[in-house]
Amino acid sequence: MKDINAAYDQIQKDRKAGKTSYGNSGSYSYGTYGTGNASYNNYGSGYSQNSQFSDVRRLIQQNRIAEADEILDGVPEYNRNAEWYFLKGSIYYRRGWLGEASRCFQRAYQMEPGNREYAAAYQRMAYQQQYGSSPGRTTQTQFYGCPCDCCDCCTAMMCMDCIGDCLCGNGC
Amino acid sequence: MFGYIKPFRPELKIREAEDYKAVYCGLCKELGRSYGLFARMTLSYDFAFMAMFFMSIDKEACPSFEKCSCIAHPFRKQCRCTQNKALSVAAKAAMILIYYKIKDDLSDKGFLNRLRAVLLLPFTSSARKKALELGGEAEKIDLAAKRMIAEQRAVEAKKSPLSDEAAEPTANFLSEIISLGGNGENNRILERFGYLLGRYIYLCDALDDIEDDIKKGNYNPFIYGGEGAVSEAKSVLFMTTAELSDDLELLELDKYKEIVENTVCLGLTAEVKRIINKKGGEQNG
Repeated sequence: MKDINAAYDQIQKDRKAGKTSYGNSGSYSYGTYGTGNASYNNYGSGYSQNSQFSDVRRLIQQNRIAEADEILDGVPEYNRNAEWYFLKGSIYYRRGWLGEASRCFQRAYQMEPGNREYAAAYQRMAYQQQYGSSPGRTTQTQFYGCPCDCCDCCTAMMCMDCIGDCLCGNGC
Repeated sequence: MFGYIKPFRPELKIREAEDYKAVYCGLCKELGRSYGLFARMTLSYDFAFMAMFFMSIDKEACPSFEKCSCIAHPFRKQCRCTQNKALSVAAKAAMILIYYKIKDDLSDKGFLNRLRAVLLLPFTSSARKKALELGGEAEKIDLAAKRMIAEQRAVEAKKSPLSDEAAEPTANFLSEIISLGGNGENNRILERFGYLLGRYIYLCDALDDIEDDIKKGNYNPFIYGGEGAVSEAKSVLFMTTAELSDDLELLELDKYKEIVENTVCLGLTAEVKRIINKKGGEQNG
């Protein structure tokens, strides 16, 4: 069980690491976004060297989310810099609070647009918001069913199909 | 629940569609067999997916099939998945959840909803009792559902404008249910998967009900966004489906891999788009 958890963390880490190689931030584009599933828990690899919150980063890495959150909440409003918002976003992300996470990442990015770590986190979520999948994935639905007359016709056909299905089972 | 978890049919192979249908029919039969005719009418896509997902992550599970006739399809014999553990867990979860939903409706504002709840309560409460008698995971599910309803009430009383917070009770509930299928090794992934899936269901329902809730003055986390409510909802839902697809990739799926992937990676976003299109709202591509 321990091994698995460690492996899980490693995969999550690798995912992030693989994606941090997307070239310079100036010519950033989704198409070149590494192998796809970029995430942003890749703490410790260079970025955190001049971090104000290295203790928080460490706690997050160890999955001690509640403690990390407590420390962040203790930081007074006027001391909350871009990194604070980024880490707060990472905690939200881990908890599954994706809406708040994206707001925090956006704030961090706006406060410090040059930071690649914040930019990657923000841009990944912006991509997800638009496409419903992560950058690099090929599985996307084509847009279907538009609210125009021709499609109402299709819908009608689909309904007919369903009714037919109900009456005679799947083969008719 | 509400039927928001469906496969994306155009991308299903015919044999996959047949498999899916067989599990769906199997769940219907299981509901009828264990809980009576009333229970069969509560059949939903969500629990069919749950059953299929449990079979998919359980390498030991070996579903078998039979030909049978069915009242809903009187002229043709159907292929149906025979009784197994995954179906029984999904059926228990369905019965227990419906009981608590109906019980919750008793304190609803609308008279018709209350009336419906009073009429349905005896059926649902006996179904829940039967589920508990069958034992197994029923007790855990029951506790989780009870907690969810209590937490949901608290969030609604608070009128939280945060959709993340509003979705949490449902998300936690599904996180517990889905991790029942874990083998100890994959529990962490399943917990997150369940959490996100619960979140998806709650937020889809909230998106679907925006206009209704505004009219009736009910709580809905998206109405605080004013004009941008629909696009806000779409953004959080799309992030959720994207994360679900990523999480699924970490899981080792056995049988029905394609159908589960189809449902999670394609079906969920397609459903969000369908709801938005139904509203005649913004278009997207």
